Amino acid sequence: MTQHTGRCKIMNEIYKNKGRYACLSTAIAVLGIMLLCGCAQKYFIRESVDITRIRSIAVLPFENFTRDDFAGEKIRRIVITELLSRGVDVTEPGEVTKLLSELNVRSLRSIKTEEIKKVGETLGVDAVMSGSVEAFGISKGINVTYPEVTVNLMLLETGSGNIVWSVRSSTGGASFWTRHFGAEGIPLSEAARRTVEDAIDTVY
Amino acid sequence: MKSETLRRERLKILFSGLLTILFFTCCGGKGTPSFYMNQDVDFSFIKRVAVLPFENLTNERFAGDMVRQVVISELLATGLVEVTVPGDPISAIEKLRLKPGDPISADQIKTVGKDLKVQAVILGAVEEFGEVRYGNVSAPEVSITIMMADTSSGSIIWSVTKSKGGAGFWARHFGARSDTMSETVIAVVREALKTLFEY
Amino acid sequence: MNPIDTINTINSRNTGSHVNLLKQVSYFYLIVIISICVFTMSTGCSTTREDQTISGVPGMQEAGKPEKSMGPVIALFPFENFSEDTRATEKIMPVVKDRLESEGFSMLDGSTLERFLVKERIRSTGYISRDIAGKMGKELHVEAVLVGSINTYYGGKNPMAGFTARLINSSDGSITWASHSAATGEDFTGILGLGTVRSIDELTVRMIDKLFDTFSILPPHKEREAAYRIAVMPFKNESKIRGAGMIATYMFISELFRTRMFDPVSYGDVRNLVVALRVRSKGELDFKNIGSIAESSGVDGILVGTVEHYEEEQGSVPPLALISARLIDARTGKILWYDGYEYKGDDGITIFDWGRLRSAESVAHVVVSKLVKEMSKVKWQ
Repeated sequence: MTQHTGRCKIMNEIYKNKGRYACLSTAIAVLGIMLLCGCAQKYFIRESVDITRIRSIAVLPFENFTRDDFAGEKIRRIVITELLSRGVDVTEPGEVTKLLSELNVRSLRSIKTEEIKKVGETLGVDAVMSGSVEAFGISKGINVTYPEVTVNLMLLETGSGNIVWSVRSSTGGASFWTRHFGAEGIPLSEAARRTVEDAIDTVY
Repeated sequence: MKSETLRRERLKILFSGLLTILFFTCCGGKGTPSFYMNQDVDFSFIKRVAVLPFENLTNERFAGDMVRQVVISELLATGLVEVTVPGDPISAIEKLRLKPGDPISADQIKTVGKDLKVQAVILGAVEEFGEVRYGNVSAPEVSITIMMADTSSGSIIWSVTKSKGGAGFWARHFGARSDTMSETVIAVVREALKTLFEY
Repeated sequence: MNPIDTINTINSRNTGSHVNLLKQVSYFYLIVIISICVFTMSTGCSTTREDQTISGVPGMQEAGKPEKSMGPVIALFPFENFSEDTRATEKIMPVVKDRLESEGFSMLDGSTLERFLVKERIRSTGYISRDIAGKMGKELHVEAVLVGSINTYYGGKNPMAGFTARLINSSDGSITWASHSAATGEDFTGILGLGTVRSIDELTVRMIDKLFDTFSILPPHKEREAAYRIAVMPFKNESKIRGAGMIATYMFISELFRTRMFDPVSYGDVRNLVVALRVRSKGELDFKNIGSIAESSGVDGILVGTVEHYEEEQGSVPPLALISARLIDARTGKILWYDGYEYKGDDGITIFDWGRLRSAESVAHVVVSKLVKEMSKVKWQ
């Protein structure tokens, strides 16, 4: 009995610890799965098109759905800078603006496939990029502030007028350290840069 | 020995209970979206769609445009259908002397379908879009309705209404971070489109 | 008494008195030398600025001022005023004039200059074109024209002053000197809080001194053939501060001038092109205008940009500047370089408050310097 109790004692100790480890690892796994499910950035690349062949792009002015009057232009500038840094030739924005004016394009949201093709052909570029800024500003939590930037980008091939790449990229929310320890979050310009960088990373 | 076993059992029950609470607060408890699917339609024939401008029933000026953009982006990301260039449907609507977001008849849907060479059009409305206060916590709330109409018949073949928002259990009681507006919008749209693609 | 003892006593007395005499003579000479030094310091070479008054109209002679020197003649255009103080120009220009005259330069008298400005219908005196500079050289016999801007001028609790200036050669319209200076009164605060400048007048004098520290009518040694000629287009202003676009434009011209790689064109010539080509939009250019500018001015590159943020300090929020700029190849229309940089007043703090910048202009200058440095790395194709 004593032997049995003794063995049991040891076994119980081992079993107790094993149980603890099992519970802990299960909890971590479940949490991990839950976290991962929400994090994936979805984007579209047309499989039949070799995106790497697209080396010259005209970036259209972006639609702006935010309260910052210049958010569209700011993001457009960051996108152009990012594309240039990846070795893509980007048409001078002034020429794009002039061409849109000549084509009587009044609103960016109603720009048609034919007009996009014409812009691409006139400027001699492989593709035209359009986009919209959904969020651009500092949001306020209970006692924290954090930047929030969300952009939608789309690449349209000049020849076919088809959408060959599309992505929605977002950076936002107070980080763990900001929320619980009041640490300073990243500035809005940095959040914008990261959002655009993440978006362009999916294609170049 | 008996007390040890009892203790272990209690721990197991406690742990299972915690996991259950965690599961329901994070994943469940939001309610399944109410949706309609025409069982007689073979959705595999729908290769190309046009997303029409969404009706905006909120005070947020660009709510309709934002949600529409997300729908286009998510549809493309699934890779299951082609989507027309966003400007083409708007141009087609304007040709019919309709304003973006105006109600559209079955005949007009057929006309748009022929014009854009699509098998279906997607229409929608944004009913709620903004921050709502819950005590000392504010959280975004988004409510949308999305429909798909067959351009050969002009009839609705799929429709879903989905809402998401409010401060979660953890946000309300433990000050955890609420979703941002962008996160809420993408979550609503993804859950809504899931009902179409899981079919 | 023993004679030897007597002699010894006398000798010791004599030695003591000799030493005393020597000491007295040394003290006397020391006093004389100190007196000479004091006299020299109080009446000699160094002139202090405290006796200058900051009021008055440019060109007005004051009693007790040194006579006009007979050095090269410079035409001093009234600085363009971007500050909130509408009287800033009339306060600053006499200080500038005096500073230049003390360097040995002669200023074209105010009435002659005014007549010329009226005759040529020159409305803005913040810049000058090659043609006008040439006319001034021929008709008024001036060697060079000094143009500039008052970017900041504020006489509050923490006074702020900032200036940009350029010297344009009247013979060929090229820039021969350019500089910038800006500071606030608290920027001079040292250990134990001492040294803070509380008066805008004193701050102005210090900043004008700093501005003209490197002043020279002779251009620096720069291999003009090797340097890329750049036309700096007027920057677009998306900030709430009036004139931020032009402040950034002038800062870029000044900084580009300091580099070996770039040779900026006088803003007056660029302005003439903007008017002639009817370039309405700022911050961007179309291919046609790029080609026209390249043909007319013979530039290698065109710089366009935007001032996205330009904010002064507000309470505990430091000043902020965010400027983006791009360099376009004038021959091909291609974008050679594009970048933006943001800087806040407290980004440079090392320890305690050292390194803090307290004005938007100082912060903007850091941004412009950084961008020009990055631009210098561009590879021309």
